[in-house]
Amino acid sequence: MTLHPEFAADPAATKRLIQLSRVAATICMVVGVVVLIGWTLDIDLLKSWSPNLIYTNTNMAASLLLAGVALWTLREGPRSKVQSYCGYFCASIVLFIGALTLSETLFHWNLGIDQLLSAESRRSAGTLYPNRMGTTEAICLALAGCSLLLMDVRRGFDHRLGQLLDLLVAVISLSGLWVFIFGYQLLYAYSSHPWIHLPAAIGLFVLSVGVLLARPTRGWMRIFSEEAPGSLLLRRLVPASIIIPGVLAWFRLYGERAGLYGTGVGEILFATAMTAGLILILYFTVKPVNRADALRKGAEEQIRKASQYTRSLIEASPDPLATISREGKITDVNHATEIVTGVARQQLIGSDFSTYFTEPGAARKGYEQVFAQGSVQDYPLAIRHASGRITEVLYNATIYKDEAGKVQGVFAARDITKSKRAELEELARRAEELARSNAELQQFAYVASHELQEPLRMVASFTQLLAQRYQGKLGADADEFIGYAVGGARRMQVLVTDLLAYSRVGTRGKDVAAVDCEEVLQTVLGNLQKMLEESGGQVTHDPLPTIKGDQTQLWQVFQNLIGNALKFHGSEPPRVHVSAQEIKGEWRFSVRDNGIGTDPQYAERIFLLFQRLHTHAEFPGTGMGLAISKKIVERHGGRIWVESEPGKGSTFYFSLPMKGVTHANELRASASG
Amino acid sequence: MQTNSGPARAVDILLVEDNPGDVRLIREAFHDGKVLNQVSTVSDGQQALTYLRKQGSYEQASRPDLILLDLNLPRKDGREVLGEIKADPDLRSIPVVIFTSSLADEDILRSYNTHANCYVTKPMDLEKFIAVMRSIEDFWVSIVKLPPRL
Repeated sequence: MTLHPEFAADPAATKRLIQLSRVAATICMVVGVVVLIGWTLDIDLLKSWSPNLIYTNTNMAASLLLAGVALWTLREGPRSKVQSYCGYFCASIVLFIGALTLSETLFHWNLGIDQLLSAESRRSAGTLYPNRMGTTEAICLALAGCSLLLMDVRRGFDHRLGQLLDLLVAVISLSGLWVFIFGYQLLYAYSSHPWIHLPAAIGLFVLSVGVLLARPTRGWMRIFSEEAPGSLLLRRLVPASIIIPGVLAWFRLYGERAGLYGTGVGEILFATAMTAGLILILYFTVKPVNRADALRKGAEEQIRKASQYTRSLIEASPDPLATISREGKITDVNHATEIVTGVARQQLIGSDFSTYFTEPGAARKGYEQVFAQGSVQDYPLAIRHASGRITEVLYNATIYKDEAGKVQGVFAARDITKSKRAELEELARRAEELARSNAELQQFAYVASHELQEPLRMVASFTQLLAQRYQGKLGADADEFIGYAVGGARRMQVLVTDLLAYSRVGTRGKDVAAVDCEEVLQTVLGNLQKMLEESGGQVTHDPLPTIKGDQTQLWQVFQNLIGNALKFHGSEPPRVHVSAQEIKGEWRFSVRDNGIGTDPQYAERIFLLFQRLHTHAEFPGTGMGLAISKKIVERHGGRIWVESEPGKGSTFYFSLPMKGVTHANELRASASG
Repeated sequence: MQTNSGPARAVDILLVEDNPGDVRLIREAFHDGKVLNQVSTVSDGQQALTYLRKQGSYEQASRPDLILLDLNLPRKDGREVLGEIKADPDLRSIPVVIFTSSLADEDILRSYNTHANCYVTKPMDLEKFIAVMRSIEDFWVSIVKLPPRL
């Protein structure tokens, strides 16, 4: 925004004003022609335009015609040379006629121009010089001629000299009209000539207005043509302020003369009508002005919003953005720039941009490159934070231009998309690698344990065969060795079987289905019948829900937990209680026992693969059961944990999401994997 | 474990097994059973088919009454051998017992789909192994009526 804002010219209004000026030129010509016709055909009314008035002389009529032609041809914008010469020629003649007539009056000589077009008329008898126009009219013609010639002359107060002369014509001719309207007798008394003849007054006034309107954007006229509420107001009020008093005054006098009312009443009527007329005009004028103003305010609000939006976007950018002037001074920054440099906005703006980089020379070089090439891409630089911290950046910068397309400076934005993209790619690559290695590992565990079974079966079978056939035949040592070999092979077989089961949790899972936990429990208790009998154990349970999951695997979990509860019992016969509770959208199952319990410090460890807390002699097993259970529960989207104290029994908990398995898709995916 | 009906005749069994340990274990199991049967052994799938078709050095081979077929075999794998036997009009009537260590569902299903007569997995434990072998022997030799010899 400049300090002296200027409104642009309203193209529609300008066009209308110019059209009006052409109308004025036409009227002017018509007035001249009509009077001339009156002289030619000797029609009194056409010469004087009113009974009992003195004829307008022929030179005036001719001058009006020429002035109208000049105004018409000297139109604004492109015009041919012929038009220009014609226009200036006509205007010059008008000036010439006015000046010569004036000189005749001043110096009391007769140049014979007055009767050039027509002889003396009888009605103007009594004047010293027959058929000579009045002094006022001559002045007006001279002035009008000058103003026509000066229309396109800028020198002289930016068109205002010509306009000033023209305004004089307007004032004089308008006063002539007033004289006629208010009763010409008033002024007529002072001179043998009337102030101005009626046709001349009309013609000159219209001409002077036309001259002003012909250049609606020049000098004083500019304010009429601007695209602003004030100009609109002016365009309406100025004609009204001329026309309304004139028309009302005429009506008033007409009424008075017709004897409708007296002078006093006439004045009251005039004042009242004047007030009413002005208010009406104002009322209908202010409306569009307000509308224009509202539109402007709306537009301003939109601009403000848009600018605020743009600004907030700029500020929201995580990349430091800056604009830099031709001189290398920072002109604008966003919040991210403050953060990355550690310098406040107020200090940043106006300072040399290159000082914030570790290599100012390289920064300046990049900046020059932007001006030379229009932009740079991924220009590597390092920003130094006030604290000394350095941020490696890739700069993208372009020149930016103002509305006129003039280069204003450099807009620089740090581009970290490349590094981010690389980061994301790296992450995706790692995830893929991890998934692959996971799958490979599972496959490996499965294949390895599967393939291990064959040779293991051989070892186990033949050591057993050896034991069967040669027990007591090879000596005590041989029997002992064979015993270890058989035992080792058997344990190895159990380990491999369990490992296979563990690896199968992920690779050989079934689809999710409704699983009745009561039913599962009954099956498990059937499987554990022998154990129950041997230990004298009892398993009780609360009502168990039907849930969604992999039946075989859930069965495995119950079997492992209840089996453990029965296995790790103390001197008391085992008492096991199974229950299920609904807590925060999940089923929490618990298997509580009165067994030996476990130290809380091992609460995590017991769920790890092959972790055992007891010797084989105390409690046999591979230490796989809980690891398998954990893997199954986690595959179902749940958790497993234990609360226990040595000698006070253990409670194993596992939770399963109530709305089926939340990881159903994953489950299905891993099942097919 | 003898049955009351007893074998009317010696039964010829073709054992297709590449693991000499298993061959020995199976022979031991049969031996312990004291059943009068003839066990011939081939160690790969190709040999098995050559044997059954009496080709090459197996010109004198007799048609077996029962085939014990391992699935994982060198050269031609048991699954292919089963397919070819069951596609051959001359051989398809010979009962085939799949005897393998594979527990994979797809192997079990595929074998039955290829008209295996039964599918048995090799037990890990020697005693169970021997028990299973005896059951097979008992069932196929003593209980089942085999197709008549041609």
